Parts: sequence; C-alpha cells; structure tokens
Amino acid sequence: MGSFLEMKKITKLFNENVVLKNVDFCADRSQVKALVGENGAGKTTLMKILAGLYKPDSGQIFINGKQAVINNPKQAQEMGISMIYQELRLFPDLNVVENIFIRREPIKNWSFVSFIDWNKAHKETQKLLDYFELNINPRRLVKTLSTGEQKFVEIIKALSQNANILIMDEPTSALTEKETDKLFKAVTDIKNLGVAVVYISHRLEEVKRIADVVTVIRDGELINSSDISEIDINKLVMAMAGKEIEDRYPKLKLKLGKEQFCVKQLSFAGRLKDINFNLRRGEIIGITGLSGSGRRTLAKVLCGLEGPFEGQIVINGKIFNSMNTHLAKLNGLCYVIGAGFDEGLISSMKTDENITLTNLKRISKMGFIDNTLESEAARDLIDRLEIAAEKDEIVANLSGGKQKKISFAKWLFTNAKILIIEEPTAGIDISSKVDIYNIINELLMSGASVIMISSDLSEVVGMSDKIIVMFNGEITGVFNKSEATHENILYYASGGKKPS
Amino acid sequence: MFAIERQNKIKEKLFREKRIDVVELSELFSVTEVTIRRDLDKLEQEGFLIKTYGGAVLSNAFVAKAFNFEPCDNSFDEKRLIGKIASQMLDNGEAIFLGSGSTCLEIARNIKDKKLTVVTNDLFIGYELRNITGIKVIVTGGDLIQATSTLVGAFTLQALNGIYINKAFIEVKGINFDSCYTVDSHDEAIVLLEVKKKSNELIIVADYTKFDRTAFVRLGDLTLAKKVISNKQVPSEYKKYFFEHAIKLYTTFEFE
Repeated sequence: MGSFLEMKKITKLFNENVVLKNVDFCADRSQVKALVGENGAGKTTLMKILAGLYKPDSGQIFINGKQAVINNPKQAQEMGISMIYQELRLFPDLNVVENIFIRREPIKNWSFVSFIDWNKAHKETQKLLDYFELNINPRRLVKTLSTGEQKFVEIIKALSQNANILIMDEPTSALTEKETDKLFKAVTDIKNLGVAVVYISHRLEEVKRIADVVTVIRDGELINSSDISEIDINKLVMAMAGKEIEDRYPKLKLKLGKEQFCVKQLSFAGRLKDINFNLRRGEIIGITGLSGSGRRTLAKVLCGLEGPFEGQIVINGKIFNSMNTHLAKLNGLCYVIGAGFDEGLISSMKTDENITLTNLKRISKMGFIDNTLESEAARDLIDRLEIAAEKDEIVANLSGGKQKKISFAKWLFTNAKILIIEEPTAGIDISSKVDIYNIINELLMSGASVIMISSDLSEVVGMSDKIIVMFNGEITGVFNKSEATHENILYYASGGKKPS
Repeated sequence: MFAIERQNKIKEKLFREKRIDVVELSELFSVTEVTIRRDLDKLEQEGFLIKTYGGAVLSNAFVAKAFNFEPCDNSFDEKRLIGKIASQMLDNGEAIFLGSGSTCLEIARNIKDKKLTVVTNDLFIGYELRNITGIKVIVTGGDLIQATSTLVGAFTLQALNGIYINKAFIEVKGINFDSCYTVDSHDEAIVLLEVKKKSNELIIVADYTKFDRTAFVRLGDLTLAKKVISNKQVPSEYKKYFFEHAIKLYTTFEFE
C-alpha cells in the first residue's frame, strides 16, 4: 500500500546543473513531513515541481495511487496541491476576502446576469478565520496586516481551495515567536483535517516540534527519511552537511592591515540584534546563515539601503550613526549584488553605461557625459576583468558570469575599498567562478577588504579569513578559517546554541 | 601608481628603448622630475642603468645578463604579476625552491622583503638575490644547460639530497589536456620530480601562453600540483578542470 503522495525518481536540471537526482519522496494524509537540507540542496525545487511551477526532466508523480500530470500551477491546484511560498504572494492593495477568493470568486446568477457573491465569500472567510481563532477583519487591506497575519491569510487561501496536500516553504522565517506558536497550532489542526502537510525548514528546533517524519535532502539527493522521535538534531546536521569536500578555492592568505571597517552593537527594526564585528585591510569576512537569518538585511543596513539603525558603523576610524548610499559610496563602501537579483545592474542598458554609472563625474566634462571617455573607461575595465563582452552589448543578453563581472567592474570604477559582496558566484559557470575568486584576491592585494555574504558553505569556508554565522538576526557563531567545518556552521546556522 | 610599479615601468621602457629621458618620464607618469631622478638613482644602484645628463641609458652589464632571459618576451607583465601572487603565499622562515625560468625569476624579485631560505637551480635567480640580507640562497650546482641559466644532472640531484622544502615553485613550458605538464628537457624533468619528493607543497607557475602548448618532455598529470598560478587569460576549460579536480588556480588581474 503506497502513500497518498508519491514522487518517483524525480530528476531536474537547470542549464546542465543537476539539481535533483532520482529523488523519491512521499507524504501521507494526517501527517506533517519535514523536508530539510542546506541552501540549494533542492528542497524548494522538488516542491515547486509538485506545485506545477517547474516540470521535472524525468520522474513521475502519483496521487492516491493514480499517476498525476502536473503541467502548471492551476492543474496542481485542481488536484488539491497548494503551496505557501517563502515570500508572500498576496495583493497588498486588496482586502483579505478578495485575496482569498481571487480568480475563483463565488458567483450568483440573477436571471442572465452574473454577480460575485461577496456575502458568501465573506461568510466562508469568516468561518475559516474563526476556525483558526484569528482576530482579523476580512475587510482590511492586506498591506495593513502584519507579516504573520498575512501568512495566515495565505494558509486560509490554500485551505479554502480544498487542499489535501499543503506545502509550506519556511513559513516561520518572518514570524514572531507568538505567531509561530499560533501557526504550529494551525498546522496541527490542518493535519487533523486529513491534509498531508509538507514542511520545508532549516530550523531544526521547529522541525523537531512540529514534524512527524523528517526527510533530509543534500545536493539534490535524498539522504534519509526517518521518524522524528528516532533522530536528534546533531544527527540531522550531520546528514545535512555530508562529508567535507576538498578545498578548491584559490585563497590567498594576506598579511592583514589595520582595521578598515567595524560594526558596533548594531540593531535594526527587530530584524538584527546586537551585531558586532571588525574587518581589517586585506581580510575577507564570510557571513553565512540560512534564509531568513538576516544576512541580506545586514548587508543592506551596512550600505545604507535600509535604516535607521541603532549602534555604530565605523569606516576608517570615522563613526557613523546613520548611513545612506551616497555616504557609503563617498567612504569607499560598496555593495556588489550579482545577477539573479533584480538589483545591481540595469539590464536594459549597455555594458559601458552600466560600468560607468557609479562614477559619472569621472567621465563627464562640464556636466555632460563624454561618450569617448565613457567607452574608454569601460573598455579598460572590460579588458582588466577579462569580460568576454562588447561595451555596447545590452546587459540583459549576457550570461550570469559576465553580468557578475560587470557588477564588479562598476564598483572598481569608484575605487571602492570595502566591498560587501552578496552571493559572489551563485548561478554562474565554473570558469567565471574561478575568475571572481581571483578578482577578489586582486582587490585584497590592492588594499581592499571584503565582506562576503554567501549561502554556499564551501565557498565561505574556502575563501574567508573569518566566518560569521547568523541565525534570526543575531550572530550565533564566529570561526577562524581553520576551525570552520560545514557541520559546525550548520549547527549554529540552524539555531544551535553555544554550549555554555 | 606606487613607486615600485613606476620603477618597473621605467625598467620596461628602458629595456625596449635603451635610453630614457627624465622630462619625458615625468610627463608620462605625471610626477615631478625630482621623483623620476630618485627612481633612476635607485635603479642605478641596482645596476640596471647608468645615469646621463637629462636621462639614463641601459647598463651594458645588465644587457649582457638580460639578453638570455627576455630577448623578445611579450608576456613580461603577466610574469611579473604571477611573481607578485606567488610572493603572497610565502611566510617568513620558510624554505622554498625556485625552479628555473623567467617566471620564477619574477617570484625572486618579489620576495626581497621576506626572510626565507631559497634553493634554486637557476643561476639568474641566485644572482638576483645575491644582495638580499634576509634571504639565504643556495644554488644547487650541476651541469649548465647551454645558452640557459638552468642547472641539471647528478650534481643537482646530489644537492637536493637530504633537504626539505616547504614550498616549491616550478615553471612548466606546456600545459595541455593530452600531454599534461611538459618541460624542455628530460634532465629538467628529473630534477623537478626530485624536487616534488622533497617538498611539502608543489606550486606550478606558467603564464597563459603555456596553455594548450606542448613542450618536449612530459613532467606529469595535470593533478601533479594542488596549486597553479597563471593569468586571467587561461582558457576557461582549464579553469573548469582545475576547479573540478580541487586544484587551486590563482590567476592575475591587474588593477591600479
């Protein structure tokens, strides 16, 4: 007798990279199944296949013993599969009811005219809100709700579609403790309704609390599946980390200079708490953590994209109690965001325009941009970084690796000395990867220092002099290069505490 | 630009043109004539040039020496950068081996501020380091390969007997997927393989022109060393291969 949901031998490739290798996964009704693994292990991809967002390259899905063909999210929805994504997917300017019933509003027919039956919609919504004991007015606009409340609206939306398989991707990453408790109660209720719940999380403490069965996935392969009562957190971390891979990162150990950058007791809007670290000339500090750990928020606060903050940022001895992007640039601090994010480069503009955008003064004469200067400057940087692109190519048409290099070029053009680099090599080809590491080396040799924010643990361990692990907006562990292993990083990144 | 970089540029220019002019240089680098004169003083002390009125000429003694190793070398800059990276890998107190060749010579030029023991089978490298107080130089001895500065043979092997090296930098003449690492002669290969046995860590240096090329004698597989230093122009198949085989590839990028 098989399980209610069975996924068999699922394989998925993204541009020749194998993301999932023959993964078998199953889930039963009235059960919470946790899916855990490192960033990029393939958890979300597997579930997005189930929800119809991606098509697998091979493999089959069976629901209730019958083979299911899921080509798009709508088909998945019709089969009772609902997914609650990590990021919120509600319409902020619509109210709760409108959000819940969007595209499937109840209709009443009045002779030959059809109307939306708002009364019915309201009643249903209220019923569900009551069921979860939520004190939310269904007429409120979603944007006026807290993140936690919005998450519940999503859950209700999923349930009102008669979901019998509910996938939750990191549902607690933005919730307060109280909201988390409420969510867990709701998950238990949902489970008791006979729904099969798949719960994706990095937070092993939570998994321990809520799940019945836990499945570990690593590098696109299923590692093991076991009853939650039979496994402890250390074993889970070991299964997630796997064996250490050989160091292949061209790290140059430079003699460190004086302190260039320092953060003192920095807190921000409840999302960052008491962050302290200092960065010396020639040093790479790797900041890692699982999603929702606050590592990106930290980067944004440091370079003035978010604020105001409490505490201090010290750049070359100058104390700042607030930061903005202009000030950051003036003081040689820059934020290198790469391809894959919608920030960083203007994809519809030409390569040279993108590169010189950060320092228009340098290529302007009497207040006008000098095209000759612009293309000369761009050409120079394109050569230096060995970017195989023409200066007048549109950035959107270039590969990820080239885009990444262009975002480095653009900051080199401002002579930035402190670089906050986010996911330096995510999603780019190996040869560009090697280039990026060596570009970073060269930057360090020319007197810069780097804060590298990355979810690739091998990269963090391979390239950093010091590794900072974050969890829930706090620093939970700090390691020197020699002490850092995947296992101890993962332990602190999933909420493990220092044995005191 | 740092003084040392400017001096290197002056050397290059002098090497190409045999004579240089102070006014011209001060315009070229946008520094005062006094600064240029100071640079020239320094280079004169190094025996590189002889000052004349308003400029300098390349020293004849240096020409004689230089003729052998960079007669028509257009990858001089690349080699210099490799030398710079290699020097970053060294800690004071280490014993290192520098193989023969112009890239290894560039390493020697970049380690003058360190305290090291340098073992080499290249006469030029020994000569380059002759005046450096912090560095103990051991030239292996051996048979001199004609028209080069490379020492090989039984005497070289004998010198290597009983010594232990922390880091050995060796230069290869060809890197290719089929022929792997290759060097010019069988004698050199024997010496280099012996060096590998004596060393904790083997580091291969080669400028980018050596890729996809094959020299006369095979030295070993591409996995022979765990670290390779070259330039940004290395073909991407090699970058990929090295990364996938857990070999650290350091490449140079030049920034101002």
